[in-house]
Amino acid sequence: MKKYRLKLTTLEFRFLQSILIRLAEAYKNNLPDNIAHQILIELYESRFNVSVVDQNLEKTLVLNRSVVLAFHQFLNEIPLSGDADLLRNQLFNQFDVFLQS
Amino acid sequence: MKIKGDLWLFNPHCELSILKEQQHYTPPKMIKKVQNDLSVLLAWLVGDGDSVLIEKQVVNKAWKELLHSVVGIDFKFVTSKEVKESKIAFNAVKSWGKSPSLVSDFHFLPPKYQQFYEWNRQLKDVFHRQFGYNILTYIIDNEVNRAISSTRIGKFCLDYQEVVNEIENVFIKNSFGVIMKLPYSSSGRGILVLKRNEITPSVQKWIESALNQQGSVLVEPLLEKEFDFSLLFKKHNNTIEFLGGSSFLAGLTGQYYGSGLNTFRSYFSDLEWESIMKIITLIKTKLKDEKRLEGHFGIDALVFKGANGERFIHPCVEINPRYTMGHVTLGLQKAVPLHKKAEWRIVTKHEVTDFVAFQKEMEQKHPLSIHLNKVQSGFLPLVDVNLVQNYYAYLLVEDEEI
Repeated sequence: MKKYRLKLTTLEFRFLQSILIRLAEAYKNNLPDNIAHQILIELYESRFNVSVVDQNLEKTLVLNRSVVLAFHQFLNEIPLSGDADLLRNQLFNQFDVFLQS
Repeated sequence: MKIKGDLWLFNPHCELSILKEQQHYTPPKMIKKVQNDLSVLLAWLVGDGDSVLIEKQVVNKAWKELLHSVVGIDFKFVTSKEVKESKIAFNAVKSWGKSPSLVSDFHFLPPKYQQFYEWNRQLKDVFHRQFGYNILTYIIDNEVNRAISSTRIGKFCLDYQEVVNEIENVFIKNSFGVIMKLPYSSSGRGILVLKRNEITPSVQKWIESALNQQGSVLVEPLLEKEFDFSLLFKKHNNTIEFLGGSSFLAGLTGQYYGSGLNTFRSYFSDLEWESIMKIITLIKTKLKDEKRLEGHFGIDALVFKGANGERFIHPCVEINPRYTMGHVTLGLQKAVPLHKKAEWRIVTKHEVTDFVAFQKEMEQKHPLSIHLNKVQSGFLPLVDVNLVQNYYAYLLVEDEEI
């Protein structure tokens, strides 16, 4: 199965980290019934649960299709505004292209 | 066999099905969730004796009675199973939007209803962005005061180099940004915003994939938006009726969050309002003989800030040739006294983790008062909280008068 290499700038990494933290917090006391959310919480715990990210650091994550699908769904449903909405738009479209290829 | 009014289906996936031109179209999970949770909003569009198709049968009786008391007409929620087993007969079948997949959406109905949802291939052109773009250029050609100028609207590009050149051109004139749109897009898909004049590999991929799939990309200057609004119409043969307008809250790429009620006029100055009236007349003139367009439609527009801070109207960002949330807003407006400040909102699980607790809290904080079939003040759930999973909707009427 084709994997997706997601290159993230520090800003994008922090953005994804911040929305995944909120997702993980929402499920602090119960297990997610939504599989996409479950996949993203697992990803958060394995790759995003770090406190310091170097400035100007490019991070590359290799994601399988189910994780990309989960991100694609999650980014579409969260309400955001301003710069966060802009970052969401960029990442959503990257995943969209991959999923359609 | 019982004869009922019309049967209504909420099919927010209509645009996606049109793009794919598939009769047997399976919507993405996220659209399916919107459909399951928000079908009941059609209660604000239906007529006396009509039925709204929903997924689950067991709608809470107390909530349904509450809804009936403000909708003010007799309507029912039905499931496909119920329709099939009880052989309920309808006068007509209606949907949120026409699409090729209505055939499979209404698979449970006998063939005699097919006349109501037969797909006409020519309708696809009405959903293409070019259709709305033609309305926009027609309005601009008629020189409406305070309307966007022709130098600030977008351009359809047919190949990669043309897109790149146009992005460059737009950034020279407008440093705020560029927005690229696919001819067919919905639910936040098919729209890419650039704030910097930089074609990264992922942006390049997006453009190439867009051109490959849909043949063109609309490249527009990103405008400094003050607020979004929509103009709502109904067309029957050669007559177009303007139903009203609504200002709404939306994300960068069009995700709908809700709308204020009774306040539409107050968003505009007297001069702007004159322009809005002229725009409505022009839209009616342009579309009255358009045979492919029939029924309810909405035109999304916005007010933006120019370089010197003055306000301009973008009179047609896109046309939605179907029912829209704006039509729902107009329905809701009938349930609220004209002088009362009110809003309705759609919230997701990401804003409100526990819908049941949220509803309880809001009901306590804003006790509901209904008089003469109108919500005088308070919080009214627009969905059955026990049946929704990801989306919740409510109406909040304040004590405050406008």
